[in-house]
Amino acid sequence: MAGKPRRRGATALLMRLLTVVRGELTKMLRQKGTYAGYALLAVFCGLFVWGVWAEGPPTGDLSRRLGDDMAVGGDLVTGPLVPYILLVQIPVAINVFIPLLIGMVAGGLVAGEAQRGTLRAMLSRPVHRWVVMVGKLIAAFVHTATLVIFLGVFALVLGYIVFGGGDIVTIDGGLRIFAEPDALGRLALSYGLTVLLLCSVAAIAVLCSTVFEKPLTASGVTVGFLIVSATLMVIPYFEWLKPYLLTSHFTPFKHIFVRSVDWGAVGKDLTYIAAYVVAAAGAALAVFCRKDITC
Amino acid sequence: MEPDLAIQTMGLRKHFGRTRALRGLDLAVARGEIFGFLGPNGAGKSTTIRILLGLLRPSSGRARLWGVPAGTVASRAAGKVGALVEEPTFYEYLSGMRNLELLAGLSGRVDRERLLEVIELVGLKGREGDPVRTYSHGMKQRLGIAQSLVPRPELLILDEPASGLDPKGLVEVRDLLQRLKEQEGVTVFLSSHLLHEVELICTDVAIVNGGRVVKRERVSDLLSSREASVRIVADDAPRGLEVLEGLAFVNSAEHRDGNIVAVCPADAIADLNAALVRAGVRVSEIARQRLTLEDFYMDIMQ
Repeated sequence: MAGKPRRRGATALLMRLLTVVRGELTKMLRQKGTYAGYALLAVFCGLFVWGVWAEGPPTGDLSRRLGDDMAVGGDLVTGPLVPYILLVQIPVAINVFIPLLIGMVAGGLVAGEAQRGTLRAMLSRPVHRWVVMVGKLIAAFVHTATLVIFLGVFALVLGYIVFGGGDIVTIDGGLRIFAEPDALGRLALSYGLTVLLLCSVAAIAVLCSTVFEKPLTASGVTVGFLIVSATLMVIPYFEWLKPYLLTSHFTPFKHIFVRSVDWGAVGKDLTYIAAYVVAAAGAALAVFCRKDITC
Repeated sequence: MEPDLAIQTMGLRKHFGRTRALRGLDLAVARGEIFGFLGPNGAGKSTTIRILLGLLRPSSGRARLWGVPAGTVASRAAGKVGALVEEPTFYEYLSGMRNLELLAGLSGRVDRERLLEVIELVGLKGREGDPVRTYSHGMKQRLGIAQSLVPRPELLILDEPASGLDPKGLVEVRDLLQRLKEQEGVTVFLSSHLLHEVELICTDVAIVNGGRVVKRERVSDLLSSREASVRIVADDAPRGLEVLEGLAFVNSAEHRDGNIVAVCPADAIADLNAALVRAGVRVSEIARQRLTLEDFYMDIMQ
């Protein structure tokens, strides 16, 4: 008997949540600052491809590392190699650049609204605070996903235009050649994992946005958290802490570009990442639901 | 049974660290009233409104909207509460209409016709598609009032709704609130520093100071007080003042702009005149001044 009203209530709540998410995405899409992030990623990608194109295929370094016993010929720089190198070989993109862009947007989701004064109008409406927070978290995750996917797709398309198709040849832990279809599948998986990985950064940024009053502080603390985490990783005294640090699990894609995907290692990384997402999102929810809105 | 009280607070307290914003605020606003909530800056008006809307959690005490604990979604939904909290702020890069859609979406289904209706009601028709950053302060204020009207509220909580409005806007807002009360039975809780406006539209007022209600009256009772302020033009004002100060029924008398202004019971004005004449003070004009809400407010604040 009580089943139907409860189901209707759940449907209404879901609809309200979707409205909040749509509203948050609308706000993001209408802000020029959001597009600045994609533009910066495009420039970053373009400069990288330009540099590789100008230098020519980097076979010299590969030949040196392989020694005199083996000769390497043909074009080693291919379209699919571009998104691979951006992800695996240039850690600054994933460790700093994209987290900064995430922090800039997600860090303003609560603090920005509070600073602008729109939060009080929003929360004066008959809507549960947790619905608003979950909506903001989902919007932050969607934004994160679009950044990562944009980087991957833009790099791939630009790579294909400049260098054409081909296999991915890697020399990490020995020479490996991934045939083009296989390489594209592994790239999709790697970028997918990167989305999940960076959702933890988005959740931390939303938490900071809930705790701090200024969006700039929220995004700064988010990036600061990653820098501290990365620093602790290289200090021997904190070796015991290393397995629990978020940045220790920042490279799940490295388990993808091996002979056969190491699902065990991927699963372990994802478990830690999920724990960070749940902890940060849970804390953001708890703080937001009890927060006094004074501005 | 439907609760008759739109707003009720009992012993409401709120501390911000060591600062006590509310110190046991008791308030009751009946259905259908236009209730003026007055007080100096820092008296606790905005804190009370924020608690009623669930933006702040009280340190202790209780607050209810239509009998439902304030701060819950149910309290804001059941009584269809519309609110304007302090200066209205919007997403400047979005149009007025889009801002209304976003806020209305949080209350449930967005009825575009209703949005157009409230836009017309507040005089923003034709500008609803423009970005809010192109609006004047007064237009933003109108948009703020519009968003509070979207859910067809039975209770309107307005914090300084007339701030920044031009004289025409002030009259329009006043007419709108009166129309809402008379035609739709809307209860209005109005916090304002514009005492003249409050006097014109409010049925009841509460004056709050130091986090407590220090006076709560019907406006008509306040203004029909038995006390009267009398302006006297006399040939010898210093002597006249001396005479009045010696009269037991005169509460106060002072020299103001060359005249004498005295406060005494309304039925003693003739005796006051007679006393002056008896003392040889020639009175050329004696006029009863209308007591305003401002007079009472200033008196209480002093």
